[in-house]
This record gives sequence, C-alpha cells and structure tokens, in this order.
Amino acid sequence: MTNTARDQAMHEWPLAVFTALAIPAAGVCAARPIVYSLGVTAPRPVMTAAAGALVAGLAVSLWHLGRPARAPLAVRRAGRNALSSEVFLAAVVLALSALESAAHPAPPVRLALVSATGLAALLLLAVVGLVYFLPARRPWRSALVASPLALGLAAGVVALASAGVRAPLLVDLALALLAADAIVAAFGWTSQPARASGFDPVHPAVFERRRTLIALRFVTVDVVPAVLLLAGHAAAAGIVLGAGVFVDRLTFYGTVCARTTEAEIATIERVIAGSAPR
Amino acid sequence: MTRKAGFVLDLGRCVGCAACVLACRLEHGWPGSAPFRRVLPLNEVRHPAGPTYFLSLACHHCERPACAAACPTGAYERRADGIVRHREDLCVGCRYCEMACPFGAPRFDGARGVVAKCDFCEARFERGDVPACVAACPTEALRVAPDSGSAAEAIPGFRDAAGCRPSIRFTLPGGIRGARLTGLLRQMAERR
Repeated sequence: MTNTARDQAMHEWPLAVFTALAIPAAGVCAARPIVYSLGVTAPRPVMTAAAGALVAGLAVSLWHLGRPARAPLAVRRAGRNALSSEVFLAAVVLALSALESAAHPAPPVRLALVSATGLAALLLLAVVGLVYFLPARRPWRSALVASPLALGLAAGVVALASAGVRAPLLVDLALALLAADAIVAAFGWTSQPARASGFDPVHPAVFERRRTLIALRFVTVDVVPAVLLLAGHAAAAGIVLGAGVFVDRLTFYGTVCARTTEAEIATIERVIAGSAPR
Repeated sequence: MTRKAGFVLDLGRCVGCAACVLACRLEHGWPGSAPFRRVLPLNEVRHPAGPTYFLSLACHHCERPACAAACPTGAYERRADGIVRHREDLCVGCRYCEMACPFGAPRFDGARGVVAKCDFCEARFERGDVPACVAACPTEALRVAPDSGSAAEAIPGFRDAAGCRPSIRFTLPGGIRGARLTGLLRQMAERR
C-alpha cells in the first residue's frame, strides 16, 4: 500500500481574482499622486471603484482560507512576512482612502493623505509580488516577483486615462509603463523554469497551454492597450487591460505551479531503471 | 542533553509496507485527508523491470524551515530539540506553507480547514520514545537519527537548498550508483 494522494483541486482561483482586482486598484492609488502633482484631481468615481475593487478582492480572498473567521490573524507578522504585509497594507490603503473621502481635508492635508495612500499602494504592489518569493522553491523565486509592481502601475495610469483624466503626458506615461511591464514580464517568464511534464494534475488542462497563455497575456496587457491608447481610445484600452490583468493572474497561478515530489521521484526512477543490473 | 529530532531512512531495508503511514494515522487520530507520512515507490509502476525502492517521507524538520518563514500568522515554531511544530489554533488555512515547503510536508486538511503535518510525535519523543512510524517499522528502515556516531554511514539525501537544512538522512542500498542517486535526491529540493 502506498499513499501518494494529493489534494488535486486548483485552490488558487480566489487568489487570482483577488490579485486581479487588487493590482489595478492599488495601481490607481499609487498613480494618483503623480496626477495630483500635475494639478489634476482624479474623478471620485474612479477612486471609489478602486476602493471597491480592493474590498471585493479581499472578500474573495477569504474563499482561499480554510478558516475565514481567523483571517485577522493573517496580519500578525506584518513587516516580517510578505503575506501578512500584503493584508496589512491593503487595509492601510483602504483606511487612508476612506479617511480622505470622509474628512474632506484642506489641500495641504489632502496632498499628504494622497501621498501616503500612494506610498502604501506602491508598497502593496511590491509586496503582492514578494508573497511569491519563496526561496526554497525554484519556480517561486524568479523575476516574476517584480511583475505585479510594473503591471499595477501601468494598469493604474491606464485606468486614470481611461476614466477621462486629462493630465499632460499621461498617455505617454501610460505607454512607458506598459513598455516597462512588458520588459519585466518578459524577463520574468523567460527566467521561469519549465514545468515537469505529466505530473502536475492539480490544474485544469487549459494551463498546459503555457505559451499560448503567456502570449495572450502580452497581447491583452501590453500590445492592444498600447495600440488603443495611441489611437485615442483610452476607455477601450482600460477595458482590455482589465481583462488582461485577469489573464495575467490566471496564467501565473495556473502555470507557475509546484513540481510535485512525485515528479522528482519519477526522475530518480528513470536513473535507477537505467542503472539496474541486466 | 537534548535529543535531536531527525529521521534516517535506509532505502535498502524499506519494503514499502506502509506500516509507518498506518502508525502515523493511528497516532494522530486518523486524520483522513491529510496524511503526514507518504510512501513513494521508486520503479514499482513505471519501471517494474528495475529494482523497487520505497521512500517513506514526512516532514524533515528542517533547521531553517521554509514553512515557518512563509506562514503569515506565526503558526510554526522550531523547538530546541529540532521539532518543527505547527500550531493549529493559529492556522488560517492559507496554504502558503504548502507552497513554500520543497518537500510537500504540510498538507491541507479540507475537512478541518487547516494545514497539518508531522510533529515527530512530540509527546512520545518528550518521554524518550521514538515516533510511532519508527516504532512500527518492521525492518528498521526508518530510524531516529543518532545524535552522533554513525553519521558517516548516512548521507544527506536532499540538497541544502536555499538554506532549509532538512534533517533527514538516507542510507543507500547496494547495487545502484549511489552518487547519482544522491545527486538526484538533492535535486528534489533544488528543482521544485
């Protein structure tokens, strides 16, 4: 009798939804001080939508927990653990946004709040990537950890542009950030080790099409939004990029999955079989 | 002197009977969906013409456990005797320890909504006994690592990947190229 059964359900769906909502939301908050410094105020509905997306993302992420009622414990190691810090910073961003929205502060205080929110959102974007910097696992220590930061900033600026914010050089900034995202993601995905074949039964078959998914990610996140921005269709660029972020997260969770111990056993088996006495 | 927790597995002796798995389950109240110990066969299915070996694996109670580093709630602690202990009362079931551990030791128990893993039968160990899996092994393939002495006969099976420093040691059977197997076992940590 052997026991090699594993939990074979893909359990990362709530995480894909959470990050697909949180990354653009944090991106909007992080990009806002840039726009603010240019003398343009981001429309209130955009900020409300960003906060709503962050709240919705956090709510969805509870589905990933075995004990959702214990979720507050997840901030116990904030500052020492990336996942703890992620939850903590998301709460900070929400609290600062709510404070600014409710208090209607004077311009200097508002500038301070917008800047503080932007800094917290920037840190949140960095930490979302660092959650998956797991030194003991090779697939989880690639350059992809920097992808949420680049993706979030690009998504934030494109979202502001698509919401009608008219700031000088905003579209140029969006295009530059999309290019930066493409470079970071390309570097990240090329540094990613290939998966073991035939021993990753935990994800749906669609994730076996790794190259197709990565290509789709680049098309929807970087290429099409850039073309639409250049053509003056900022709103359409925002919609496509929103879908692209979801593709990016699904591709990440679906393809950067663990090689199982069983896969390594199979490798050892091949060698033992090859060296067995004839 | 404090005894140190750590397993030694003799691949030449393990017959894959899974008495260790059964003993583990009985000791821990038969946790249905989260077995702490697994027996992974080598060759049995895919290369039946070759010799068959068995790897009985559980938590390796690493010196620098990746699970503890990844846990957001501080549910893991490494005791002075080397046992890496998981506190279920602090576990939120986020499963990041599952992702972080290169050896697949922490297992999510869907029924209870928490992760569970081998605790080296800490209660038994504290009173001077060996873990249930070791006690149940009929061939003495699975043993507790000696504090000192016969370490030369055992080799570290897993590479000291990223500083985890797993405590398990393997004794290799004769008839296979030990160095190569050692290298591959090391890759189990490195390539995941």
